[in-house]
Amino acid sequence: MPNESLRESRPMSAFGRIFSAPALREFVGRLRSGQPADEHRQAIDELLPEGDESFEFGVRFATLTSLSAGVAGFGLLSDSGAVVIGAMLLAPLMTPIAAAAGALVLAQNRRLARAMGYLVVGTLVAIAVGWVIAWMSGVTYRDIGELPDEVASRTFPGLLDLGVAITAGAAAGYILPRRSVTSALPGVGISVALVPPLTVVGIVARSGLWTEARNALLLYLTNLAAITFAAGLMLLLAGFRPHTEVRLRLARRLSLTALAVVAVAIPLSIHTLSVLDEQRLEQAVRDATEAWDEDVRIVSLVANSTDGGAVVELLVSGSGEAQPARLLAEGIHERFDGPVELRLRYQTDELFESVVR
Amino acid sequence: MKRAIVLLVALACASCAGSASSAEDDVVVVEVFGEYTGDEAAAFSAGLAAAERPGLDVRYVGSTDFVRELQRRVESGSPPDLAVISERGTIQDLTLEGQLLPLPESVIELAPKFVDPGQPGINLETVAVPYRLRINSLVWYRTDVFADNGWEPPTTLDSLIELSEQIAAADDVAPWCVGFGDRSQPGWPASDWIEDLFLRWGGPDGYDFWRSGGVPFDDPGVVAVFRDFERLVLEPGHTNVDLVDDLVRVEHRDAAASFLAAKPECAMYKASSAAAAWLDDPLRNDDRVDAFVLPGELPQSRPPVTVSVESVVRFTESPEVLEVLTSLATEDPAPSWKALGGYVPVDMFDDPTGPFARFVGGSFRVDASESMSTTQRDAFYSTLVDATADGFSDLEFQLEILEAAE
Repeated sequence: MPNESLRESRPMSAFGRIFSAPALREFVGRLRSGQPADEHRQAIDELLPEGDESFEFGVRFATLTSLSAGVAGFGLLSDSGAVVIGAMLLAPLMTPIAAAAGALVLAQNRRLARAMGYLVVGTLVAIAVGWVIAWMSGVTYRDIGELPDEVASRTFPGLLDLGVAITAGAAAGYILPRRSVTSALPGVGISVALVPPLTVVGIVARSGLWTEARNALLLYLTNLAAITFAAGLMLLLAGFRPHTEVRLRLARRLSLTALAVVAVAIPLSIHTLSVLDEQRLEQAVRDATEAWDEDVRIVSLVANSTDGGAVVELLVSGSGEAQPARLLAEGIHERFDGPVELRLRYQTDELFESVVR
Repeated sequence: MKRAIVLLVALACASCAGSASSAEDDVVVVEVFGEYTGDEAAAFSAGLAAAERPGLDVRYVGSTDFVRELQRRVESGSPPDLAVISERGTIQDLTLEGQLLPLPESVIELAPKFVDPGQPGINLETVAVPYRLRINSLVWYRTDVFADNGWEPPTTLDSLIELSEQIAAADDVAPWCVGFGDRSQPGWPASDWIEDLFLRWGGPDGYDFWRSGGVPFDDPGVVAVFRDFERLVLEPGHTNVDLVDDLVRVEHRDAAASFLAAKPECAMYKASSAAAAWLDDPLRNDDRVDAFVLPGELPQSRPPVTVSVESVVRFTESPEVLEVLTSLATEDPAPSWKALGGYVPVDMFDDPTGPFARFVGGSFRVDASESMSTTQRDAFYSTLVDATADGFSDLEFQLEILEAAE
């Protein structure tokens, strides 16, 4: 008896209380039993139709992908965000990705292979459509500065994009087995655009901007890997499991997807760091400019931070005579703490007032 | 145990805080000011790294407005610690004003020697450490354009004038890519032409006499040299720019872009050895571009050249500044300029080495306008700019005014 009371008053009790909470225990129990509701399982199974229906599905998939890429391509070239969002809603790529996540968790090799097949076709179609639209429109871009904002913004992925893809992928994994909430699915498609980055790959590749094409492809691969991984994890949590005999391979499969996420995270981190570095540099230039001459106004600022230091192209306008540029370069050097190459242009503001009464 | 951990953490914090603040306090920054910017700044400051050590940070500050800004800084009492100056006249001015600190014997002994053959009496050895030479008399030319048209690098000044006229008569390219503009000292690229032509017309002795002020600017000989320059460069169709105003507006370096283009606007670009840095080091990298020395009146295997001497001078006194100066006097700059090109060692005329060795061997003289006092030089350059913008229509009068101002 004294033993019983001692056990109840152990200092670990707070931890124990959480884990003995009935709701959690039930949740863990459901996880262990590995039995999602039948309707959930059916919803996942029906993502990719089998047999006769698969041809029809394939045609529908290719048609929708090309149309979506077409809308995205024109929307991107005309720099219209609304049109690009429209294209995201048309895009059917989420279906094979979700099916791949499901097949991954359920260890259905054939289905996984089919889902990957659709993804490869969809990827190639979307890139090709982007290329063809750029060719038809006759546009060529000489550098990233000439790209429309909608295109340019997809050529510089960062870690934040990975965050978006993982959370939206988790949302997809949560929504897919639950038919009652499928109305939320378009939100996933909009959050993690798949077709627009691919169309951008085609558009910029047409102009020979290979770095930008590679970056847009990286954005797409990020979204692909992160959605598959996060959706798979959510399905796992919902109780989806393979049969016992293939269960062992599951860990290996999921770790492969996780590895893919890590693989895209490395270049993304580098990108993110350089974005942050550039933001820090821009702030340093703004602060230094104000300290240099508080009466000047920055008209345009292009700041690049490279291994060798910072290269700053600055156009300011002011009403007086320019202070020595050296002082500004020194101010930037002090704040940015690295070599600075400043190319400063100074415009003289002239005020003309005229009145007609 | 807990106390021990707290103590350890506290110790760690104290030591890191201590080292951070001492690092801030103990670093001495020595500033070197000069006119190298862009890649040249990177090459020059790569050499400065040899002088750096913990506690000594060497900072290079470069400006395209160098000459004027140095003057302003000296006048306002905030000079840099060290400066790299090409204008020997400015170094003399600064010495006379007492702005420069004399070099210690130890540095003079170690530094490379440059003896000015035209003014052996004026010795800057005690205030300036020669760093790099520029051979100013080079004509960079497009070998592909020359070959396509059957043109040859000329051997006399007259044949260069003929060639210029011949190229101007052809439709597709102009003889010369030209820009006499400069942020700090507009007109100096034109002065290099005049100096080179004077050295050819008057010979080394005549040049020395002119440089020391013995020949007035309105002397018929000087006027004749200006007219040669006009025949070579200012005649209609002789340059890649259409308006004479543009001749003095386009920056000297920017003119190189038209010269290097796949379809060049011109066949020749007169610029110094330093131009190799912004011509992508053609003597090593580009067989479409080569150089010859501006030819003399008579065929010569080694025509005379004019040179500029980039030298380091000292404004402030401290052991660290002396340390950096000593490093500049003793470290060989060649390796840091190797990738970029355009490096000519100070002892080139005693011991010709490197890609520019084939251009020396004849007599050499120091750039005359750079030897003038700052005021004289400004007047000379602005006369050149004005006369060029007027197409030399009023040249004699403008030279008379310049001479009167002297």
